[in-house]
Amino acid sequence: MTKAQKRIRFKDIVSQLKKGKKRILNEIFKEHRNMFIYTLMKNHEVDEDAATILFTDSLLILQKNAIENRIKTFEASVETYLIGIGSNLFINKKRGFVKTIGISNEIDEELVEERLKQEEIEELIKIIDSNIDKLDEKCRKLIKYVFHDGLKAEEITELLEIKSIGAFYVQKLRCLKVLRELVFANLIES
Amino acid sequence: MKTDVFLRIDDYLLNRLSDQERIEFEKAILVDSNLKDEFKFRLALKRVIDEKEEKRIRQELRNINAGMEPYNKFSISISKYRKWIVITSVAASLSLLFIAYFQIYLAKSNYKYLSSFYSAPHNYYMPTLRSANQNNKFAEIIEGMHYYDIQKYEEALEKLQTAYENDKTNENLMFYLASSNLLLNNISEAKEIFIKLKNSGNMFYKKHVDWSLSLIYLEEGDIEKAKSLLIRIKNSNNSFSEKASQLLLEIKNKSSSF
Repeated sequence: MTKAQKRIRFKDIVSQLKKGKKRILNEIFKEHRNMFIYTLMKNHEVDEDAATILFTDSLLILQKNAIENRIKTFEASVETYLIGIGSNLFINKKRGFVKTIGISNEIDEELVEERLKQEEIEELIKIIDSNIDKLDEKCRKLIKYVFHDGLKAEEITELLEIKSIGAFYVQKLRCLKVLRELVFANLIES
Repeated sequence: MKTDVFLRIDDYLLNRLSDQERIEFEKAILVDSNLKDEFKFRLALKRVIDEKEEKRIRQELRNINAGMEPYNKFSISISKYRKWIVITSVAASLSLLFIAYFQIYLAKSNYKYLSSFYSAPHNYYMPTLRSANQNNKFAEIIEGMHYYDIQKYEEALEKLQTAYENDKTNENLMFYLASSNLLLNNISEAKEIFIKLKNSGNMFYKKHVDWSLSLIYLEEGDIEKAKSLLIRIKNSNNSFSEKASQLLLEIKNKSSSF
């Protein structure tokens, strides 16, 4: 593949991920796994298994960045991009370990407050996780399309065969309302 | 207004807001507790869905990984350097082709005198199989000369060589054995036998022997010996004299160009 072809391929991959077409990740995995492992093992102190996990992590980040419009330029190939992510992940993990060693044991009020807020969200996550499957299939799909795939209203309307964009918004609010009621019922019980 | 701000929650979570819009939204969260609660709820919801999807994708990729050929460092080296391997292979193939062509060319050009000036001497020894003596003693010779007649020189060589092992004084046999060798470009074998014949003083085959030897000396690059024989052939006024003159002129022209 020429450089120009690689750039076009990368653009196409991002475009497909934005449309929620996750199958492309499987193709990329098969196509680039070996080179990713080879490069990571060559450049960092990492074994094959760790490199494979880093590759999966990199693919997930690629997906997230594509959906959240964080990929602005396509100068490199998707392979170079993934290797860049993988290398950064490896380096950050190493640094993260080193970083924790110097933390003070004094209580920081702002940090405590922040931790509490984080714990609130963690609590919410647990409850939502245990209740989300109680939603009907259409609601589960709608919520996934909105919050994970980042699809536009028009795209979701077409996929779920909803009559109109207005009807989509009504449907969305209804699904969120049902879930919220389930979640807060749990919160009250606990 | 409230609806607008609430609609912005999803855009914020999916990084769709401009820098300015993001700053305004974050300010709104700080002052609006309902908005803050709804934001926390949707943030948590997004985390749940993201984690579920992540688990699903990881499992799918693990399954794909399990089904793939194991990682092979060597195959990467091949794929990484494929371009150079292809270029090197093509270059090596071309080089081999060139060398082979050059060898064939050299082989042909090495025997340019033989290929241009030498032809199989007529069979004066055993004209045909029918008229020859069918005695077993001469069976190898008869067969050998038969093959010589039909230009199967390798078979002729084999038979005549066998016969020669049993009779090394037979000058007829020696001449056609030497000729068969020369026709097959076995120069040194042919030369040895022709010199023996010349030294024996055989007159019947003399002109053929001299002509054959002159060509052999030319092929070997022994110009002086070749010239000496060619002058003698030219002056002998035999069937090879004209060709001998031609070759002498060629030698003269070559030496003057240097």
